[in-house]
Amino acid sequence: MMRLLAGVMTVAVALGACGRASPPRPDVRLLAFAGKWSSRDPIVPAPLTAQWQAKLDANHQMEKDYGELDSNLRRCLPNGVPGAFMQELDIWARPNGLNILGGRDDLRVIHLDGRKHTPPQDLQPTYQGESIGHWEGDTLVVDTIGLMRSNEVATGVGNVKLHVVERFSIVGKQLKVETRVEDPYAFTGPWIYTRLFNPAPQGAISELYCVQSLDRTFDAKTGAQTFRFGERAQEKP
Amino acid sequence: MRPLNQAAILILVLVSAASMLARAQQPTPPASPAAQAAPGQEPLPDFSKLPNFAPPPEMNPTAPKAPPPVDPKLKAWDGIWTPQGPLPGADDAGVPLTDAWQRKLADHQARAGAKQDRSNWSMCVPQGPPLIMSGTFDLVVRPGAINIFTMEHGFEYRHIFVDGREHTPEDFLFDTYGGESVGKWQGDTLIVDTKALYASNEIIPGVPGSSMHVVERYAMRPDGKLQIQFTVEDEEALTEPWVYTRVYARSKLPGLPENYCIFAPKPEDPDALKALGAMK
Repeated sequence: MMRLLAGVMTVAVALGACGRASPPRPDVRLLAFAGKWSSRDPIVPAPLTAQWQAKLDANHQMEKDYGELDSNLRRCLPNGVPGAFMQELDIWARPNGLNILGGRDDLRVIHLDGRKHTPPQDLQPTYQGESIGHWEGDTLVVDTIGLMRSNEVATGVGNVKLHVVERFSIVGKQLKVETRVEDPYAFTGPWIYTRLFNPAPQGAISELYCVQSLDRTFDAKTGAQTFRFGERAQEKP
Repeated sequence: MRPLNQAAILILVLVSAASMLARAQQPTPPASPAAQAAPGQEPLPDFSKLPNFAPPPEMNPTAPKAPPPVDPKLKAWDGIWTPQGPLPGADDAGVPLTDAWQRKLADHQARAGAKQDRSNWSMCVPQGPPLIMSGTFDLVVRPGAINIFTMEHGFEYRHIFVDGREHTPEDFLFDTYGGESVGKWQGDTLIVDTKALYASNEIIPGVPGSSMHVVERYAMRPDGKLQIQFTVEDEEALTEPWVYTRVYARSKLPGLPENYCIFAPKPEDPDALKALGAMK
């Protein structure tokens, strides 16, 4: 009897240990989206209002005058939703969440736990905003609000109040993302585009950090500043 | 390693020049419909064919031709992990620092105290191992590799090869924030050896290494927590290898909360723009 009890207890302990050690599983429909994807579809320009078109023109004028376009890329700012997720995607699923790495600088989370959007007065803007997904059949519909004004709708041109709705689905071997972007001030109407992503090879992630002004030294006599890029100067005690 | 670096760079330049020449002689394939531009818009370049975006030539003879399938033992570690307890060495205690570094830290404490954050974190400089593991991270298991992402002090990531390879020969190995991490199984423990780290990577906040070598021993504990034992070696800052252990519990987060480190000069700051080379 004691041996039987000990056996039952051993099995129970082993099951308990297995239960704790095995990770919770994400929705199986999400697994089809997992992996690396790449799209070379041309980018459909946003329907900018005259005021916003003037901003874009001014930026191009700055390029003529100063040699470089102003952009989030140049300022080491994440571009966020939707601009950073147009060409390279790296997707993995988590229980109640889909994670997407766009390029090397932008990591976003799509919440899939059935939550509602945070009330606007409590929502702090972020680069990736608040993305909430729900299923319509095998299509994942993602609604995003709460985005930073710096997120670009054209090179160097931000937004006022973006609302992005994306529909993720698998068509054959491709990932299809249908996007509808709205902004009451920047656009004359909704910015609608569809991008098809092809599976991309699973290579090693190579480092591509945007690192600014690592070491700023001042010359006390001339007041000149020296910026060093790449590696921080070796510090010695 | 240093004198041979120049030779390695020369070889790389020659190899890439030769491959560009060979590419130039090949007839250009017609552009795929996807690459063709919309009316009135410039076509996007084919990034995969630009020299900068081409995969680098494989300099590691031990790297497999194709990655092995996902390891089921590793797959059980997939997920988001949060450290338990404080960061070892954050208060400088118990770290075998050289006398010179101990004096410098005491001096800093006396002068600046808690008023100045002395670490890379205050300047948005990536840390790489070992401090990249100081907060919550997302461990993503891939074929032949682990990717680790964190948003603890800005967005950082690292790649750990678990495909049977050895380290790349020194002559072809260049320093990065993440270094080169190679994992090997010893029973149920994954031993991750990392070298070629930037000299800016810190051992504890504010103390950079010079030639840091980090060995991590990953093991799943019976209670379902992930344990990592770190061994940090550095010739200049440490008198002996510093060994410490951290335990990480599974997090219920659906993803890492957004926390980018933004260090951007204001566009209207002419000094900063000039120094960045953006103004003529």
